[in-house]
Parts: sequence; structure tokens; C-alpha cells
Amino acid sequence: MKRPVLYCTISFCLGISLSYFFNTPVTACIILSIASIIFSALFLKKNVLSHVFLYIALVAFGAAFYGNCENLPDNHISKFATQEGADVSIKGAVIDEPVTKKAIYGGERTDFTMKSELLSDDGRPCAVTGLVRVSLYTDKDKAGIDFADTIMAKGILLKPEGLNNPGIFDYSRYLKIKNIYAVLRINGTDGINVIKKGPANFLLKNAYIARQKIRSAITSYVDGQYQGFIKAILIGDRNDLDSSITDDFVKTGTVHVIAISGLNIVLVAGIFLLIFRWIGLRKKSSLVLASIAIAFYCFVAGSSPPVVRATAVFVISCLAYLIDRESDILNSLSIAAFIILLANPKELFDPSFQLSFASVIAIVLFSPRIEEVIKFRPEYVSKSMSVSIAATIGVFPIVAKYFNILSPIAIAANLVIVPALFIITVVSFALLFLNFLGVHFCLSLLGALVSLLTRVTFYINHLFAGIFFSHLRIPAPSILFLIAYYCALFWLFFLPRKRYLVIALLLAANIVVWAKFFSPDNKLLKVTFLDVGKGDSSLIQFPKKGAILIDGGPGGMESIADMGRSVVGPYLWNNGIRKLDAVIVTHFHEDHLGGLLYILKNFDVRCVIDNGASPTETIGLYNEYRNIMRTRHTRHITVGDGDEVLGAGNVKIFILNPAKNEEIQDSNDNSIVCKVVLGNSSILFCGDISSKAMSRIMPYGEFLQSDVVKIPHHGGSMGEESVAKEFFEKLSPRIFVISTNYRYSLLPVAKRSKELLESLESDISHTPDFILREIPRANRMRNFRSGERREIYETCKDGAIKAETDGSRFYIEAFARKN
Amino acid sequence: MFNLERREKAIILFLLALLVVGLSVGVYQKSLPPISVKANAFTADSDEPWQPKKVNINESSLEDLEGLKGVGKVLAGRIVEYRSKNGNFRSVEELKKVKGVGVKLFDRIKDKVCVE
Repeated sequence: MKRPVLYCTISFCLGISLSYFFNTPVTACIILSIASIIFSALFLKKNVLSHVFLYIALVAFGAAFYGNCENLPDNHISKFATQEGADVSIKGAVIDEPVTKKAIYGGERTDFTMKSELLSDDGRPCAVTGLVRVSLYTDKDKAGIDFADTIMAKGILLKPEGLNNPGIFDYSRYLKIKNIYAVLRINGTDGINVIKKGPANFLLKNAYIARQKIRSAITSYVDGQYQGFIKAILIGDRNDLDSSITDDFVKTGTVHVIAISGLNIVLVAGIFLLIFRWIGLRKKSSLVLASIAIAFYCFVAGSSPPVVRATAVFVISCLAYLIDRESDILNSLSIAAFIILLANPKELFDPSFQLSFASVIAIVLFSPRIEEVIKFRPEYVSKSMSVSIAATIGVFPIVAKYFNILSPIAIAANLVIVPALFIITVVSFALLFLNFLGVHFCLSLLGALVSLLTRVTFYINHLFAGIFFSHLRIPAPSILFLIAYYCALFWLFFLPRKRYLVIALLLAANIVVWAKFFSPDNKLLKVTFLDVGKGDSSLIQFPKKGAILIDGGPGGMESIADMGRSVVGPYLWNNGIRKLDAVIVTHFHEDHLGGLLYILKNFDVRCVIDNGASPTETIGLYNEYRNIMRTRHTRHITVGDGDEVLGAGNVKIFILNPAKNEEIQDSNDNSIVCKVVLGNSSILFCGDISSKAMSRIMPYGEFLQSDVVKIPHHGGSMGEESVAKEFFEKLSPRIFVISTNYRYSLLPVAKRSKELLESLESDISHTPDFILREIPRANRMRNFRSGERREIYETCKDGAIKAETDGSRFYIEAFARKN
Repeated sequence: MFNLERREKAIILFLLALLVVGLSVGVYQKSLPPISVKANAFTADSDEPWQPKKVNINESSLEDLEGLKGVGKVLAGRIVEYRSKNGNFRSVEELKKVKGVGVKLFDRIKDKVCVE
């Protein structure tokens, strides 16, 4: 068999995935692994059998290896972290560069990772292991910390809290991939004590100095708005990169340019090789020197996983060449992947790992075949075009999963952007080199040249992004689609009888299209309460067709945590929604309107419904909201109590608040309250009202009874409790939903409101059947239960909450139920 | 490129046609009439403004008393203490005799409490 390492690595990856998805028992896997190895040795003479057992052994080993990584030792730092937070002091070393950013609620915040050594809560210090992500609420110069310092940090140790929405980025999972299971929050500089300065290691020290020098050279010679891009492509520092620029690169399918990656490393390696060859070195010695230079460059570039990956592949390929092996890129890739996964098996689930390996493998396998088909002159154009096509079709499902985008323009855009990147890299290197030599001659000229080239690149890229049909927003593919897609690709390129492939694909497309008409989902009204932290965002999907979004969570143009961009938008795309029949803005506070701006800009919103108030508090946000509606010519409707929203088929929507024909202010009590009804099932959205509005809508009497109720004001203050109590007793729902974050839910006022909800006396008399589907965080396996009790769901604890009904029966699904 | 036979061509054409029909039916079904609003579609049961249930200061528990705006834990305790010492309140006005209930607070809560 050719390429034995490739099959070994595939088996190993398979084992890791098995353990990840099915929690395979570690001991059993170890035993299976050892047994298979023995069998493999026994059947050494029978080639095939021996191989098969070897691969089984590797699968079992992968599973055991990953399972073992998940078992943290008893003195691991995460065992001391709690949801509520514990006051501790931790001694440890800073292992990455502290980065200062604007904090959400004003001020500055510095983030870095720390390797813990000693921990003390009140008592005696004890030795601990593991990484901690530190958020220091001040800037790094004030605290006087730097990379590789040993520090004593005093703060609140917490479990990482991410947002739990199906298919959406989750911060705590992202940290887990980096082996971080705890976060430390420090307010002000008092919590930090630097014990020892600076890196002891010679190599690290110099790499760090080089990094700082490069950075200062870029800041002094390149124009302000282009510094971020140059820093990103040279030293992998993406903190100053504008989000609109990143968006353009994502849209044109060239984002790999700014995510310092294999491409950048190859370019830099190419530059080194050219220089070494040019000064007259032989091929082998220049390869050795280039490998060393790249290894050093890897440290300079912050040794983030993508850089390490590319460096490993490059060095291994060079080694293979040096020992006169037939250099096979697939083999080198497999060895690199194996080593990287041995160091951290969780990287298999890192999007950048999947993207880089998928693209390189696709290029190696497919581009020669594509070139045969599209051959034209000049040859280098057809060659690079086939590389671009191969990479695009290779990573398409992965890009779709993480970015919800398909960019046909990528094939053309890469032909321009990649050479541009090469030129910019070369010129920047010339700038850095001259700066390093201390020649100040013509540095500002080079700097201006870099700025100009970057500007032209941005401009061209923006043009590409603006072309009609340059990119489409698409749902994340399912596992089934993923497998089918790669099988079809493999068939297309390597198997005969391609006409059967055409028939098979057509058949599959027909099944998908026609299955929709017969799926039971067609009869369901679906309401999803998204986990957007302390804020509200609920999506209503009507049976068969149509969708309305109520509020969009916190966010806004200036916000660094825009829920529209990070949660609501991706969730809509994931569910194949590009058009919203209406958006309802309950009121104009930041935690309801903020995230909607992104939605209004990026989706086809047919009309916007609000209460018609003119706010006095969040004026900037409100003006932006009016501006977007004006420029996009969005229909605007104002509603008040007694109105009914028509056009949702057999689903009825009634508006109960605010009072009509009154000059109203923007306030919580003027939130839109609406009741959504299908058959015998009903859901009430309460906005942020308090007792004042509650007593206003009480005269609706029996009509207020609802099965599912979204609690007003994130479970916080309700005003007069006796009124609130009577109000909720009147509603007498089966399910309460509170949309909040952990920190807010721990406030005394929130606890008191929850006690009030738990003490309600009225019966649940009128409710339809309820089936509760819960996906516990611990094992991700579905639980079913049906109880009679009233239940309270909180987005911070249970993740996104989905309520589905066919008019007589309710299905409630909590995406990440915490028991 | 694929060297199709006659029968294969027919199958492919048939499947293509089926797909087009399915897609167009799907698009047709998805087209909704635009959202509109019907004003004053329904009304409340009564025109009278709703009054919350009054808190009975002779019978209600500590917690319920605390629910009154302006009455904290301490004051609720004093009210309970007062009625256990002096017997039930005979009128709402008697509340003023409890230490800590001033004119201002009394005006605010007098409509929300009752004695029987």
C-alpha cells in the first residue's frame, strides 16, 4: 500500500471523533488497542489483515487518547472554578501576548492566558495545573505585564460562560479547544503582582523582541488604517483589523489571506529560499536554512496553531526531501497532522485546522485533474485557476458550516488577491529588513508603497464583494450532506462511470426537494428564544412559510459583542432564512434593538413593527435604526393594544400593549406585548413591562391565559410584586422562559422574581400536552420527559429554548439543559 | 463528456423536470401575502381599569407585606409585631400608629391595603 501514514492518520482522527461524539470508555479502548496491535503482529505475514488490525488499533488509540485528555487531574484549575465565582490568588506565567481592547461597558480590558502553578483561596496555597484565561479590566501598560512574566493574580475564578445556541459559535467550546477550562476576572491593577520579568528562554526572548520591532516598524512607516492588515499578514496580530475589511475578505472567499496561515508561511518560505538561492547556496543547504528561518518566524508570528501547523508541514516536507525520500505532500501532511493531534487532539475540531487541511488536500488531489479539463494559455493562469477551484470546492462545506457563505467569486478573487498578498509581503519584508539594518534611507517610501498596495487590494476586494451573485448566504450543512458531498467529489475525480454520478445527484436533489412537502415540520409553529445573554431575541417560524423576529439582543454599530452579527444572523442563515416577513421591536433599549441593526442591514426585512415612541435614552442607536430603514426603504408600521397582525396564515398575532392613541415615551412599560396563537396553543411575549403595564392589560381577563410566557425584563425587577403575582396567576402558563445571562440571574432582584414565579398558586388548567426534550450539557444525548409541573427555563442555564406546537401539543427543547 | 445512452438521457431529463417542478412549487408555497395590521380587532373584557387585589394587613404573611412598594423587611416585621401585640387592625388608618409608617408612605399604600 502506498502512503501508509495517510491511513494511520485517518484512523487516528476517526478514533478522536468517535470519542468526541459518543464518549467511548477509555479503558475499553486501551484494551482494544493493545489487543489489535498484538493481532497485527501475529498476522504480520498476511499483509492485509495485519494492516487492518493496525488501523483498528489506531482508531482505539485515538479514542482512548482523546478520552484521556478530557479527564482532568484533581488539582486541575478548573476544579476550583464555579459558576458563581470564587475569590482566589493564582501564581503562574503569562504564556501569550496580553491584548488590550475596549470593554463592553466602557473602559479597557486586557486578555491573556496564564499557566497556573499555585492557587490559594483563603487557606494554604496548593499546587495546581492547567491554563486560565485572564480578563484584566485595565490596560496592560498600567498593569505592567508582558509575555512570559511570572505573576501573582488575584481575582474571581469562574467557569467560562458561552452562549448556547444550536450550530452557533460558543466561547466556552472555543476555549476548550485551546485546553482552557477556567477564566479569571480581575478588576483594576491591584490584583496583579509581577514576580519575575521577561522570558528566560533565549529563543523566545529574541522572537519576542523581533515581534516588537516588526510591530513598531509597521506603526511608524505604514498608514494608520492599513497597519492592522500588515500586522495580520506578517505577525498574525489581528486585533487592529477592521470588521468591515474582514467581512469583505469573507465575502470574496479570501479570508485565508488575513488569517495568518499556510499561505503566508509558504510565501515567507519562498522569499527565504529565493534569497538563499540567489546568494549562491546549494538547494539542500538553502532548504535547511529556510526551515530554520521559518521555525524562528513561527515564534515571531506568535506561534498560534495555524502557524505551527504550516511550519510543521513545511519542515517535514523539507526533511523528506533531504533524506532523499520521494517527497509526497500527502504523506508529509499526514505526519504533520498526526504530530499536531498528538500534542492537542482537540485541534481536530478547530475550524482553522479543518480549513487548512481540507484546502491543501483538495489542492493536491483535485487541481491536476481540473487543470486537464480547463487547460488554456497562459499556463500559469490556468494553473492558479485550477488551484483556486480545487481549494474552493474542497472547503465549501466547512466554510458553509462556520461562515454560512458560498463565494463563487473566490475562484476569480484569489487569482488577484493572492499575488497581491505576495507582492505586499515582499515589499513589507524589504521594509523590515532595511529597518533591521538601520538603513533609514527610503523607508518611508517603502512604507507608502505598502500602504498604497494594501489600499488597492482593499479596493479590488471590495469591488469583488459587491458583484451581483458574488456570494450567497447558505445554511450550515448536516453531517449527512458532508459525507455525501465528499463521496461525490471523490467519485467525480477518481471513479469511472460519471454518468451514474449525475443520475445519483439528481435523484438526491429530488428527494431533498420533495421531502420538504411531506415533512411533519410543515404543521408546526416554532418559536426559538435565542441565548443572547442579557437581552431578548425570539424567532417565530410559521407552519410551512414565513418568519418574524422579535428583538435582536444586545449590540449595535460600536458594540464589540454584537448579537446580530454573532448569534441572530448566523442562526437565521443556518435555518435557511434570508427573508423576514416582519421584525418587531418591542422597545428601543440597547439589549433589544442593538442586535437588530445588523439584521436590518443584512436580511431582506419586509416590514418593521414598533411602538412608535421617540426615545430619550438610546438616541444614537435609534437614529441609526431610522437611517437604515430609510436607506433600505423598509416598510414601517406602528401598533398599539387591540391591533391584530395579519398575514401569518392560520397563526394569529394579537397586540396587547402599549396603550393606543396616547403620546407615549420609550420605556419598559411601553414595550409591545403580543400573543401568538395557533389552535389551542398560545405564547405570550411580554417585552420588558413591569407592574404598571401589567395592570393596564389585566382587563383582557381570560384572554391573557397562555401556555408559554416569556418573562418580562430578563427576570429582573417587576415593579409591585402583588400585581406581578396576580398577573402571572392570570396567565397561568405551563412554561416560563427567562432570557438572561448568568451574572444578571444571580442578582438579588432576579432571585426574588424567580421566587415569586415559583410561589404562584393558580393551576395549569387549560394547557395542551407538553413534551419536553432536553439536551443535557454533560453528554449531549436527548432526554424526553413529560411532567405536569410548571417549569422555568433560563437561557443562561438551558441555552436556546425552542417551543414547537401543532395547535394541540407542545414540544419544548432546551439546547443545553443544566441539571 | 459522459457518453450518455438514450435511456440514460431520458432518465436524466425526467429527473431534471421533476426537480424543476418541485422547486417551483416550493417557491410558490413560500410566497406569502405581506404582513398587515388590522386596527382594533379585539377589545378588553371590561372598560374599567383593573385594580389589584388588596393586601389584607391582618392576615397576610411577612412576604406579602414586603411585596408592597416602600415596605421593607423591617417594617413588615413591625406590622406583624403590632398586630400580634394589639390585636387586628380595625381600620387602614391604624397603620399610621406602626413605628416607621409616615404620612408619605401611608398615602402611597393606603389604596393597596385592606383590613378584611
